[in-house]
Amino acid sequence: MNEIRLDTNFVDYLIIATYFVVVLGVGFVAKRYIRSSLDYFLSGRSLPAWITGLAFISANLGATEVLGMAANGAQYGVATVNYYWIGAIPAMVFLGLVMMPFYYGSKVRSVPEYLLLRFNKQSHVFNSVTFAVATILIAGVNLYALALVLELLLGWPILAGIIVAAVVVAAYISLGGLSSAIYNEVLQFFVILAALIPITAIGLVDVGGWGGLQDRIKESSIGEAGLHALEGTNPGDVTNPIGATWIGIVFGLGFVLAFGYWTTNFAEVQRALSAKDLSSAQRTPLIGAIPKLFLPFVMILPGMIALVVIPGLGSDQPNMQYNNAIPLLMNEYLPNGMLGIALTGLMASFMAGVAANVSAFNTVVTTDLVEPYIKRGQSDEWYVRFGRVATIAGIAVSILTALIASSYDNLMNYLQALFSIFNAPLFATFIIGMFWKRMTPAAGFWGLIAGTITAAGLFIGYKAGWIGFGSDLDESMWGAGSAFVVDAIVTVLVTLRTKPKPIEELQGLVYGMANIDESAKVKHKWWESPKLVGYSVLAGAAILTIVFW
Amino acid sequence: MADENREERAANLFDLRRIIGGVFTAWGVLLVILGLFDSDAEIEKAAGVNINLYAGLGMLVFGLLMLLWAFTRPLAQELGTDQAGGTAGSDDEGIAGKPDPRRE
Repeated sequence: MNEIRLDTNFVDYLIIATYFVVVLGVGFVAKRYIRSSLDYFLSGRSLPAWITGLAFISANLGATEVLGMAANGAQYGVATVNYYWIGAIPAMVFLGLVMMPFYYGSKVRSVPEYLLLRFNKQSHVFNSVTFAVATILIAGVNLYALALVLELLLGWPILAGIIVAAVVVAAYISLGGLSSAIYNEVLQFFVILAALIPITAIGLVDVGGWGGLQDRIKESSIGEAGLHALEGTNPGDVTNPIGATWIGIVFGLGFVLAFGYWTTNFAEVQRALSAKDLSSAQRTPLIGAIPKLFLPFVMILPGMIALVVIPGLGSDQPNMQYNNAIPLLMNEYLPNGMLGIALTGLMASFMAGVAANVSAFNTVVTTDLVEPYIKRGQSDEWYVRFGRVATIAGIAVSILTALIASSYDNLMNYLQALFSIFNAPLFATFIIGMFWKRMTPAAGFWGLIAGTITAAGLFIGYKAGWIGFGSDLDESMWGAGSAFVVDAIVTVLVTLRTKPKPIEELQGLVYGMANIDESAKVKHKWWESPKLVGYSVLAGAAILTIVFW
Repeated sequence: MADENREERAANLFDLRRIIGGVFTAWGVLLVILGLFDSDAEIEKAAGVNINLYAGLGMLVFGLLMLLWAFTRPLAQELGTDQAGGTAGSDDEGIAGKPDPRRE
């Protein structure tokens, strides 16, 4: 049975329609509160930690997370949790506890702007441009993934799906700026959960609970090894379906890819920068890490359930790719009503992914490229207006990049490749720049260039068939690792030959010279201590990894 | 002026809880009604779980809790804690502080 057109009725469409109305409504309401460019691009730097924390995690719950993690669950089994417990959680804690004082304390409005203050204009421009390109490519991935799902499930032509989603997101971001994006992301977080929890619950009932699932997984294509996160990952004797050693998992995935993404991706960091004080900014990724600990249960489990419940998943039959795990489960189980909620949840996740990237894009283009270099000295309102134009232009271009994404059958791998090129070198430069005062501006620039070229070169070489790798994912892990190492080496070499900035100029930007935080005067309740939250979350991740070893 | 901005922003926060609460309450009611009228065939499809009913109840409870939170921790209280704490000012300063290398 390959026809999986959903049997939707007007109730489902009613639910979807109300969601769109609310989302646009939030955009209009947010617009009324915009008085300055700070309001538009950074939400006035006034948001409380629970909002920024949920937005932080929701910005990451785009199409590829929701569909891709389920797909990974079906393809690799329990080992997929490593993305979360070994990858994301430590990275988010590191961002909150270690890097946030520099990001927030330096009052930069974006990640590239930090490079300007720490290094020089060249590194600022280079990073701004590459980041702008990256966000548009990623937004395109989300648009395309949405269109795929709409076509599969509702029969909408691909282009129609892309355009409808693009227009709605363009509308609420250009109207309300970051506030609009963030409020909707918080809403989207809950809607996504409202979609995934029931699917997981029904699925577990259907297979006979966790015990029943374990039994059926043992008989499936991933076998007993598919029930373990780290067992079977010894170098030289890899039996775990994920196909990588624990070294690759911890250092490649965990350290470079995960840290690179969470600590330097402005779409994420922007949400923390919009918090109302340093403690809230620090707690943003930490608060986000709490649901992240438990998301595997609703994101990976459905994939494993789909593997045992949907015959032929992962085979060559039409519409049976792993990416379709969630849509297939929706078709399998859900009655009208709940189906509408699930569809809305999917759309919410796609829109969150597009919106996060577009709001980061409009900020970087406006405040990092246009304002300092192309059109300086304009009024604040001019920049807000330009931000709106940039939003629309950005979305328009991402419709085109959506078509690039359409040539990939595993979007998750395409994304990891993008991250290896855009995030990994940046992470190396950042980490060294934050902790090594001696690092020079020239090194900031050349390190980035070297790292980016390395990763891009490996990617192109792989695609052109000149260099061989085990898989797409293998290439991006190697690409990320190489980019990091090359960037670091070039950074050190160039630093030894060039002049550093005077130490006073590094105030607030480097380890040991963080700005004394004015909000230290604020009385926070004991449970609001960033360190407490951070270490608790790390402990939670460690415990869970051991439980599912 | 500072108070007005703060008020507006606190109102934003407030709105979000109401919005989320409102949306989920409405959907919850809708789903509960559907769940009560779902046919046996539909329930069987969902592995025997009357998911519209249960998910609907869950959403309804969540929505009501959100609204409860929004109404029992009203505007004044949020503002009160903000002012007592004397939070690091950033509301109206824009990118104030040190000399701005971006604007030469």
